[in-house]
Amino acid sequence: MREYLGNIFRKIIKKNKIGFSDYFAVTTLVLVLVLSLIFKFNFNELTDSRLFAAYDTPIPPTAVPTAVPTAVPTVAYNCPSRCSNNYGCKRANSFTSSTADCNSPIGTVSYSDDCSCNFNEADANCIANCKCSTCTSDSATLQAYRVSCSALKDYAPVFGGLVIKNDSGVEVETEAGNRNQICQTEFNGNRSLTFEVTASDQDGITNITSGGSVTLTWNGRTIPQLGYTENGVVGVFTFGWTGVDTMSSSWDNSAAIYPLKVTIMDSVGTSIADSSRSFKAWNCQIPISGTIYDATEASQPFCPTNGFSKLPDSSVLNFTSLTFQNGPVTKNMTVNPDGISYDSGSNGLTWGVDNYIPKFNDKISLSDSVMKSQSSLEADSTCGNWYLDTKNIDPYSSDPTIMADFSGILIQDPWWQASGGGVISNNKINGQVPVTCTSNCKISLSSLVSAPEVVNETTKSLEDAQDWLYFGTSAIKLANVNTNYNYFYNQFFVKKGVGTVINSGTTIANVGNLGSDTNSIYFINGDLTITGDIENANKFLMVIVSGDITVTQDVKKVDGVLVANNIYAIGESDTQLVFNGSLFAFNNVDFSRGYITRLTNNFTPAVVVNYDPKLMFNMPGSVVKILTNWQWGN
Amino acid sequence: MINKNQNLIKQNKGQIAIIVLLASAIILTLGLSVSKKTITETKITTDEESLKQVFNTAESAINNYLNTGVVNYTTEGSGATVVSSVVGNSSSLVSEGQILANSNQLFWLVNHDTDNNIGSGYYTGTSVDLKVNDGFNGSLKIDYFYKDAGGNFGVKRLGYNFGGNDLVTGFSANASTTVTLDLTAGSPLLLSIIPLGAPTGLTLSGSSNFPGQGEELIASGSTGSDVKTQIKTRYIYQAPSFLMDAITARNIIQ
Repeated sequence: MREYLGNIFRKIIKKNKIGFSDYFAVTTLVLVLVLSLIFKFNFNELTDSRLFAAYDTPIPPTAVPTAVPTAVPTVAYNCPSRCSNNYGCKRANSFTSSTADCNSPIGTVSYSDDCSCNFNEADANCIANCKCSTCTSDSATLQAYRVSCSALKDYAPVFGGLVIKNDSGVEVETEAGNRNQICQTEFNGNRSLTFEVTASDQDGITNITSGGSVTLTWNGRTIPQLGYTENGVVGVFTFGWTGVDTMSSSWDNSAAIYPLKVTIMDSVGTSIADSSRSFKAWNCQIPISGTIYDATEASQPFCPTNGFSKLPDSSVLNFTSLTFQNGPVTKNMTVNPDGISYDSGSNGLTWGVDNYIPKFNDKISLSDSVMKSQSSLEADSTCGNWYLDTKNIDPYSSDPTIMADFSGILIQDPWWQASGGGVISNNKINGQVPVTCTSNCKISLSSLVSAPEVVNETTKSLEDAQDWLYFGTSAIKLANVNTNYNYFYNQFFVKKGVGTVINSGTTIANVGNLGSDTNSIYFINGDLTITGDIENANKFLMVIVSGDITVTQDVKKVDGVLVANNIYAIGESDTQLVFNGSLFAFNNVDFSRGYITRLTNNFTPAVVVNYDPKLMFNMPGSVVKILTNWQWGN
Repeated sequence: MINKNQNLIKQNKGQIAIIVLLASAIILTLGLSVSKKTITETKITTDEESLKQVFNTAESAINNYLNTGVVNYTTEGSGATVVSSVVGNSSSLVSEGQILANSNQLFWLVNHDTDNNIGSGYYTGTSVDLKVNDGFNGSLKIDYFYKDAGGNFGVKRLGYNFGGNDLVTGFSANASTTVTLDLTAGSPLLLSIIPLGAPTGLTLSGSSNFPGQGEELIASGSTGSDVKTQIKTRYIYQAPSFLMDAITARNIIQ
């Protein structure tokens, strides 16, 4: 209106010809002024609809907020003139753009400090704390004019901060990078936690609580609000989960970290947002997998590479279970079908835990094991520790994993050893001294091993497994071929009347079960099974069996001389079987006995035959003097 | 035709007589020959029977001696006397000829009592020399048994390769034909020696007499017709060879 009048007056001053409409307008204005003076008319109560020129564009329906909180003292003013500059809110009655005058205290806003409104301006273009409010069109003239456009003064809400608390209500300090993650120890290992958003508004906290809102979103989801408290002009809005209502695992975002977005909107619609703090919720599980390698040929594994290349024979390895233990906490791994590798599946190691100790199944054939581990975040592996720490793994990384390989010497088969006496065969000797043995690792200690064929069936070389060795085609017939049951029976029992004959197979658990022969010589015409220790208190004991002698797993000691067709030591025990004497088999000697704790086989023979020289010198005199030479002549 | 045949018959009568005469001579010769051989074989059979009787008598005499200790033994028509001598009891012991490869020879260093149990008379030297045959290129497995001061039995295992061979891994090389064995580990009991790879005779020499190794028996038998024979036997103290070692089998040890 001011521009309109100004144009008329400029025309008059410049003596320009004015039109009827200008004449009519000036006349009307003068008349109004006169009447106002007469009737003390309040100019401010006029609507400007009759004074404004039309806009070129229609008025949009409701492009501006309509809610005006009652608690917020807003002042609506008539827009005295057409809003034509770039500011949505500006000083009234001024044609200059300014943002300086909108900060006057509410209630004391003078006319000249009014927030006026420019039609169709976005709120973003409003000067600070001013906001365009309702504009209506002149329905009477159907002109899409901004005929009643008001503005209000509104301060934006203020974000005071975000605090995260654990299930005990203790604040969890932010970590470097202004972030937190659910597996921090401060969260006490559970998923009951709260977020407290502090907000205020210069227009009063009710400007937020009444008609406004505070929301906390994360990972595209809205965290449930639990409550609200007010502390003066400050409001504390609590979100999260408490008690049994814990953060569901469906919220987890192990692949990344997401910002916590706080949005505070007042009743007018003014909002602010803060996403400066981030949070990661995940299952705290770090998947782990690995493979077992065979370092037997390397003697033992050496970190970080030696011994980590050859895969073991799964049938020998006997890998059936692996757990990582931390105190009472046990993480069971899944052994893959190949029998040499494992995977945690969904049972990964918990982040933030130190000293996970790997533990294999008891009978795994692996000794001197070494572990080599590397997380997906590390450039280099760690080798030589027999534990895993997960605390050093960056929990904010995307999907961290651990690789933990093992290498060791495969547990060896059971083996036997002679001590103090030789091992003699007319055919073959299969030594089984393991490469894992560390001391006294010979087929026979301090004596000769002789047969046409001698082998050591492990990776330990025959030369390493025996000092005195005589084999080849010439090494035959060292074993007397005649001394079988019948020979002794005739020489001792028939000719000399020495010995006691038991005419059937028998089982003995102690030496007394044999009887009480004067010379301690027993003939058993059949098989003999020894199920208990045979401890000989006499100077001599000789058991001559026509069949086989079988020593079972419960036996720890057998004293004496055993003669049989075959001699067996069978079963498993954690105790070594010791023969003190001499063994003679007309056919085979076969020791399959091993240790229940198979690892013991790597170092200790399961069967030992200690040669006892006293037996030979305590043989009954009646059987030691034999015909050796016979000549006839005239 | 008939005359012609009659003439032929007359001409052949002389030839037939000659043939008969020759045949008779041959038969007579053969008959006399057989008769002489029969007479001779009858005499041999008689001698063999006497000899067999003497042999049996001698053998029985040995058995009788072994069982009763009586040296004289007589039976019908024959008799035998047993002479016993101790094998050993000298400062040198010689094996009974060649010892076959991989067979053992025992040299006792302790005496035996009357019950054939070991006694307390030991070889008193501190060492012995063991000699093999010249040219022996095998090895010797030597097991020296002893009793220590505590009365415990012990064994010391030794091994030598002779003639520059390395037949047995780990055995000591011995360039000469003699090795000296140290016996100071305790009271000596026994040397068990096995030639490996080749046969050899063995001679053991000491600084004192060795104990008896056994007994030699010579039984001389005769009959009244002066048929004589001798049986010489040796009874040596022995032990099954597998008692020298810990494990022995004819087939497989595993």
